[in-house]
Amino acid sequence: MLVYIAKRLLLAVPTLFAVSVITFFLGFLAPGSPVDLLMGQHGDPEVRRRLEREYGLDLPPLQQYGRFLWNALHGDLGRSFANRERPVSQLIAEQFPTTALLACLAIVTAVLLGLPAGMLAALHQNRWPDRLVMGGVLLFVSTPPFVLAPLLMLAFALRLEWLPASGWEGPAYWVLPTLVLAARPAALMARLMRSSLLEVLRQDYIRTAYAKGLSTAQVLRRHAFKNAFLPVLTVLGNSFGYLLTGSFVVETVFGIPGIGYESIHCILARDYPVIQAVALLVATLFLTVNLIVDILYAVVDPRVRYEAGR
Amino acid sequence: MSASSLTSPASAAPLRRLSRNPAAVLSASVILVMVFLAIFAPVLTPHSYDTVDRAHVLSGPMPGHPLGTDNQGQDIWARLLYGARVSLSIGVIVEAIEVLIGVTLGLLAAYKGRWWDTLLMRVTDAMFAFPDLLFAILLVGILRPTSAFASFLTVFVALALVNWPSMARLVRGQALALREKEFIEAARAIGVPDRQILLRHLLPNIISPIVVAATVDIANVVLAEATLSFLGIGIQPPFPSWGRMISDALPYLRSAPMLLVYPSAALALLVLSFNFLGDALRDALDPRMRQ
Repeated sequence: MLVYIAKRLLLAVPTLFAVSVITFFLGFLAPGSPVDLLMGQHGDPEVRRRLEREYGLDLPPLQQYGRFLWNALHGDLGRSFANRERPVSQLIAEQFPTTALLACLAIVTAVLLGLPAGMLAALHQNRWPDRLVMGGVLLFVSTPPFVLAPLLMLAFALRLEWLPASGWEGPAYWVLPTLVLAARPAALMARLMRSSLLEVLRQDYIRTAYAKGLSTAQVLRRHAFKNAFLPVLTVLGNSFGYLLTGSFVVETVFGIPGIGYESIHCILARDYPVIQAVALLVATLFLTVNLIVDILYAVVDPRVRYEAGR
Repeated sequence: MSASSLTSPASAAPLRRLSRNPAAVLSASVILVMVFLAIFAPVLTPHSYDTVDRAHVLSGPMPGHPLGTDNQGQDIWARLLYGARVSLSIGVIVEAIEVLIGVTLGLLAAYKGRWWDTLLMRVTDAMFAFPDLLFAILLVGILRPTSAFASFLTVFVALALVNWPSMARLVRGQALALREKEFIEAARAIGVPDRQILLRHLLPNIISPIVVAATVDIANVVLAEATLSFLGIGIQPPFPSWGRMISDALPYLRSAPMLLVYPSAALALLVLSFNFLGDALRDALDPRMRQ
């Protein structure tokens, strides 16, 4: 088990390294020098040289990367171009909690909606509850957040006036963004839960459990659910990545002051240090979550542990 | 496996199964209709996608503007039609590039093994570390094309770059499973060259999962383009994009909700159809999945 975890951790290091290289050198693809952005209307070469020194842009690329990596490892993500007084790490620290809250709410909602829906579908295979759930799954997989968000906003905020349309000032403001963000992961979870449960229900030990005289609820609770849930764990990890980028859209539509909203502004303003930092942060988080999911998988399922240990 | 699928030609049975699935027929028809509308857009509307009618801004349906006009006085029907061109061409071309890269690298990794394989796995690992669309958003955001035409190219490149790894992994996995099968070994034993083994023996046997994945992937590419355009970093005006139309409609949500509804419905319908078709193809190509 420990060997497995160590192996996975070691494998994550080169990936993280590659991620940092990619995010850093992406900046070099940009047309024009970032200093031009900083200079604005100034044409003074003296100012230019000072700015280049200040941001370390006068160094050769490899050395710049070395500095970037070294500083990032020490929690210093550089300074924003647009707002020179503010370190990027502070910017992220202020806005990340909002995004994290939104993502957590969405993942919990997705689990609470997706799992029961998938189980319902599996238990009534090819009858109307199944068709209803699977229809909903395809609909929500095909409806992007930027379509769902305005539609829900139109219906529940503007027409019915049950909920606020935009902002982030309290639980009432959380409802619509959470639902929008949860829709796709919930649909994916429902689909996987259904197929996974159908697979499990065909196993011999389930027939045995029924033969012992257990009720459907008992069979589900004691024998089927745990085994059927395992594959869904993987979707949970992947959904997390979707939630992070989905928040770009959802935060923009609902005017939520989180990382996603900030990132889009920075991308439009070409504020590279912030873009690089957000990319690095999001990729690191995503890797970590998937690592945790993989380890959890091994913890919960002895078969995985056995395979990995060999 | 049923007796009929053993006796009939391998390619006919799935098609017949597909044609008996009403959802598949319906979604294929929707896609065909959209392709038709996109191709014949200039015949179906007298307006261009960027013709501005200053006398009618935000008007409802009226003679000359079957679906009304948007906030700049542009004909919504025309923009929907030309938007279909954008969505479909990006979906199909990006998917074609993706399949080409994915199949080539996947087959090479599986068949040549060794460091080809390690290289592919590590590179794709790094790509997978960027969740979902993030990499495309970054790439397009940083390149920030200045001309509308360059924005097309950038979106193509970004989406193809982001999407090939999953195809390569799929092909690799499928090919690895087949590599040890007897018929491949037999081909190798009688001295068939590598290239022929790859193209004549391996590829035909893994074509169905590729087709299924590619169909569903077109839906994802179409969605990705719309997302980029919605965020303002995808296709640039004056070219129409459904994603851009949706974001342009947001300020008029209360006064002119139909501005939002038309492009949303078009996008959801197209994506839904590709997803449906992909699911149906999966069922048709692999009857065991049906159950």
